[in-house]
Amino acid sequence: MSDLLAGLIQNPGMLLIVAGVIVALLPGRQLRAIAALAAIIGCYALLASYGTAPMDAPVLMGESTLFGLDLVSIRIDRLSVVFATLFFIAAGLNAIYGWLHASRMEASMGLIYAGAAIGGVLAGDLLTLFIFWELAALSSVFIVWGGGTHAAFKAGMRYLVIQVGSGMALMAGVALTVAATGETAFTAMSLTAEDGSLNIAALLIFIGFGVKAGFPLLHFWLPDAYPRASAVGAVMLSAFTTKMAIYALARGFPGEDILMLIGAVMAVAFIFFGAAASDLRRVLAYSLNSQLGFMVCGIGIGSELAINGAVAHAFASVIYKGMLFMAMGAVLTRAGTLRAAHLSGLYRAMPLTALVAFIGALTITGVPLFAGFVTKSMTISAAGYYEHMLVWLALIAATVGAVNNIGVRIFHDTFMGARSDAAKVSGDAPLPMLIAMALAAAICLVVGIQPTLLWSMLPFDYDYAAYTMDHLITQMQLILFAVLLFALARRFGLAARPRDGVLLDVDWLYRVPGRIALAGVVRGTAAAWHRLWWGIQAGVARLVKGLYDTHGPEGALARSWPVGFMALFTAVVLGLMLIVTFVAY
Amino acid sequence: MDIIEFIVGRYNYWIFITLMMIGLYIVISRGNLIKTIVGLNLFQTSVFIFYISIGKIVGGTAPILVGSYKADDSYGEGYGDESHGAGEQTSGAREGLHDADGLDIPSNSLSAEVPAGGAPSAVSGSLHQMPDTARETAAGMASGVNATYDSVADAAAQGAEVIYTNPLPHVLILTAIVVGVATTALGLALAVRIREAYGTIEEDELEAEDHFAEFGVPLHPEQGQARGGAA
Amino acid sequence: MAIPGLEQLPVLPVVIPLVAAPLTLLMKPGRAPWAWATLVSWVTFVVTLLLLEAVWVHGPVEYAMGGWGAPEGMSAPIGITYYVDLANALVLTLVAGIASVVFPYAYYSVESEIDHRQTPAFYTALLICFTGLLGVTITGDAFNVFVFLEISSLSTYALIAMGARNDRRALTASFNYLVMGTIGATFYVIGIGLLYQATGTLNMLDLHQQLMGQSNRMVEAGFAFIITGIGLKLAMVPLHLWLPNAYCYAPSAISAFLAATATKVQVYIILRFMFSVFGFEFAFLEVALNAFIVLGIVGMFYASFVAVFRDNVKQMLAYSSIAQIGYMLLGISFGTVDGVAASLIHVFNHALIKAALFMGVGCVVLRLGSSNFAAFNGLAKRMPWTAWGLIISGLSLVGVPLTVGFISKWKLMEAAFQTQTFIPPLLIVLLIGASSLLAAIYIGRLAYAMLLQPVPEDAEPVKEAPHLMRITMWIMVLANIWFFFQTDVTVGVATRAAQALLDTGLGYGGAY
Repeated sequence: MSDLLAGLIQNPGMLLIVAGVIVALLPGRQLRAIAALAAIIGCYALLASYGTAPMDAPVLMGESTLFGLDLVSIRIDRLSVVFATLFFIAAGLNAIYGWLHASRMEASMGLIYAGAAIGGVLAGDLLTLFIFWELAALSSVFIVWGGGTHAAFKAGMRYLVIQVGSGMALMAGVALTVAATGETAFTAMSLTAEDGSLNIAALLIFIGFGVKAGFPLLHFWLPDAYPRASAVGAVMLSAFTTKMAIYALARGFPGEDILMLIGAVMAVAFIFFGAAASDLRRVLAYSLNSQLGFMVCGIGIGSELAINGAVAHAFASVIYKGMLFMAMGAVLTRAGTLRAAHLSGLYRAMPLTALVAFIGALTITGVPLFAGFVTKSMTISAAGYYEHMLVWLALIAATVGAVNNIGVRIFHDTFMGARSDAAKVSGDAPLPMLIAMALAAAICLVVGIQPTLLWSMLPFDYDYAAYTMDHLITQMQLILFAVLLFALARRFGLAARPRDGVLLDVDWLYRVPGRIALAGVVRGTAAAWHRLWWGIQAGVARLVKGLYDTHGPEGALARSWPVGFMALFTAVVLGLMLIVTFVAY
Repeated sequence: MDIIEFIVGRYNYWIFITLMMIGLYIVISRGNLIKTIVGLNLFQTSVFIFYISIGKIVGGTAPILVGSYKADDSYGEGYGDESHGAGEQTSGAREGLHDADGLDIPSNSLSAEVPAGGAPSAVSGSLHQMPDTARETAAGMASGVNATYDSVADAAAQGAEVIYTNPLPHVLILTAIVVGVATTALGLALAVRIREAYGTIEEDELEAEDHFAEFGVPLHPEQGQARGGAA
Repeated sequence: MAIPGLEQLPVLPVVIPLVAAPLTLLMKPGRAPWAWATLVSWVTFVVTLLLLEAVWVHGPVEYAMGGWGAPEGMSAPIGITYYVDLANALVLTLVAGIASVVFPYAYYSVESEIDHRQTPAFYTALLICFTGLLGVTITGDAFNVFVFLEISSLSTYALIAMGARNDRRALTASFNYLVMGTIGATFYVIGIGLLYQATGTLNMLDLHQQLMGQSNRMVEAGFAFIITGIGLKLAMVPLHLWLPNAYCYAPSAISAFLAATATKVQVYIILRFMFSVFGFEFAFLEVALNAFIVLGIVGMFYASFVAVFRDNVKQMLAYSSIAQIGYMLLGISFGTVDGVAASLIHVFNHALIKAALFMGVGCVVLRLGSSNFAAFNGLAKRMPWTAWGLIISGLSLVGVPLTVGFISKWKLMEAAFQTQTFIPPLLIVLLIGASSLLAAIYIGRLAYAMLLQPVPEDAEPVKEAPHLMRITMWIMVLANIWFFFQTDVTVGVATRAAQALLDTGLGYGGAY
């Protein structure tokens, strides 16, 4: 007992979870926020004291056994440390952001959730990973429910099922691995077994990871649940679950080819869903899912540069996505709604929030001097260098899409223009929220201007120069083109179509047909998926209704039966037993 | 012919099965709680008959020991004196020991007569006399019926001068009868309480009232609808 | 008996509560019967712990009732023997352990739910029920099982009926249970009778010896009767219909006690009969094991679906119990050491889980007078200790890591992967996973109601449950966490116990 417990307690994530439980018992929001921040700093100090280690020589700590299986509660190497550090930063920002607005449960569950994510990325074996994987799922569902509406309850229920389902897939995969090899170590694995057949254990684990990473068709919990959480809750949700899955994929499946395809589809497809969404946080959620595609692509490419790019992008993405969710949370807090149609001209009342949203938009679209530029160009370079044309195209398209979804819809439409009724709000975001947003913005700028700070933390030493003329020009062209494109499309009341882009750059001549085709395909897929999705939903609704009719309190399978019926049933069972016994020979 | 023999030779089982089915049928078909208990009783009684009939040997006498029976000191020494008091030399005294586990001691005291394949121990020496013909009768009867009969017949044929009915099933069923009585008593008591609480002991009325208590709607019209809807 | 000074140990767990029970009836209503029953449960618990330790160290213990062991020259004892190996020592300890926590818990709950004058009778019946459960577990005599089964069942019917003060449906529930229980027990007796006819013995180990290689109609019919009879008492789907109402309308303390012990003891009996008595030589065992896979899986899903839609938390938990029995049957059906061990582990863990959950519901019933979902709205604000206790043990039911439920599920999955049945192991594992998703849904629903639903506006303020109830409940909740870290007891004992059971089943051991 003491072995396992002592091992787990060395894990800063576990300590943070304990702190989360303690925070739940404290009175007063301020006190809870201070305690949370203190816990985060303390646990980070513990992590920092462990230092770091290169990828090929990890430091293992807290070894113990659980019914004969070896557990390693902490593995320190550069991949785990960079993610853990990132999560600590996110947890700190969340604590500040929720200083005044986090409910007791959000404050405590947020800390447990962050602790679970940190514990998960530090876990040295599959079983420990699973422990934290489940804890993350369970603590986050309370954050979804923290939205407080009935819609939040139902979304939370769906979220719970899919998250626990992810855990089940992971658990089944781990159990199969253990049954087959007796090993629990979490190392790189492959979907194809040595004899070329499908590796079922790895596939189950892969699906488990894929659900949390928002793979297409497994993603629907993400845009479903995130917009339902409270202002504070959505910020917490945006940081951990998906990035934990990215970490797990980077650790478990680097260079798995299928990931490139999955990542490319994710990067592009969700842009279109995002464009169609009306709730601004749902737009953000789709955009987040699209950004995850970048990382999944990077992991799929699997070169050192690509992995570095994926990790770096995860880092930047947590910060700027968090920042955008914070800005939207501030708007929600003040205006009480996030329906795109009701909001415009908010910059007058909330200038600082508008500035933050602007910085967020600049970052996500990859404007130089902001974090998004350096991290995105890394992945895009890795794709280009390795001649993955399709991936490269998808990533470019996703960048263009981000301009529309974030630049135009989140920033321009919401904050600029004529002031709508809903935008007549009492003032800018509350001070703690502003502080958190400012810190996030500062990180975006620092990473953008001085990328080597981030480079030094990445898993592999790879001398990558972000600010080359080539990158700058490509990226600026892309952005300007996209802005112009959407501006013209708006001006003429047309849907965003790329035909005007031809004029901008000759470079685009040979890309346009492919791009149109791609867009067509994706749109078709989106429509088909929507139809399928509604079909599934209707089917599920019918199924649940059917189950209710039979299993519900008044259903035939659940009602109380008179004793005679029970006796008859018993006699029938006995008869069957006897018949089977006799016939069996 | 074989079939008739098969049926007639096992008439005790047919009685048992018929009674059992009647009992079960009453439980299933009757809505009145008292009748349910009657059915249950019949059902249990059938089992009593089953047990008694498997222990019976035609011509066998009652399993009563006469004369003194020496306790065998070779077993049980390690267990203290719970049942080996100095004065307890007779089986009569032994049977008076039903303290901790009164329901089952009788089976202990006589189960030695049915060792499957084991030689009858000292016990057989103390069995009382029986006419010689009984042995033959027993051997003849035991042949086709079942293993227990065989072993008893063996025991009888080998050393004992007496044939007696296997007492163990009787003792077992005595226990079961006690249980049955308790069950019936409890069931009737419950029926009385149900009558006090609901004012009826008809099952369909009880069901309707419970349904109403749970869902706030009457059972039957609602049920009709649900059935119709499902169909 | 190799342990000096402890010769009488095996008989004590039965004798102590049996002798104590009638004394309880003579006491004055109120505190005295409760204190006495609690004391008895504690003493019994200590005895069972000693017994477990003795068996762990010295191997199986045999105790011939009244000194009627095997006479010279005979292979089988002539009297009733108590035979304690690790499998039933574990179940004994479990039953006594649960009792030693639930009995103290019962005080306030019983005071509020049962007529004050009836309390001596209540604790008498409780102790008799306790005796019966221990007796069923400890005895090595097949007919004696029936006797103790009925001792525990009869007192259970009475105990359930005592819930009538709150809800008269307890009476009909008890009556139905009585009829069904009696039919089940009678089937069992018929089965024993058939086996006796075929072998001439009632001692379980001797039965095994005699049955080896025997496979005729009589034995097969006996097997069918026994499995159906015990299956009914076990609430194996589709013979579970009596259980939900019985657990729902019984007094809270009784629900907690029965849910944690009664069906667990039946699982043990099934194990004992399938492996120790019939064994793998018995060709029909295979068929029964396959049937158990199907029944287990059907039970897991069917009952979970019903639980999801239930509006009464007690009933929800009762249906969940039926679903969990499916897991246990599944473990048995693998017919491997790992599978049986997983089943035994789940017996143990599920007892902890359900005891804690029903105790929590009991606290709510005490304070709010209802176990409907509506009563649980905003409970975390009104009764935080109870609510969080429920949530933690609920998570354990789902099988979340850091709780015992995880150990069960893990072991079951591991066992599934190492077994070849007619259903592919992967599918079984996925079904186990899917079924725990359903558990996640109904527990999630409960957690949501307690944590996030607002307290009804017209609600009167309520106090937390009394300290005694909270402390005892939290002992169970903490046990749910503690046994995750301390797997020696569960996994260690259960694995060795399963090994012993299967060795007997395969004909390697277990003889005199």
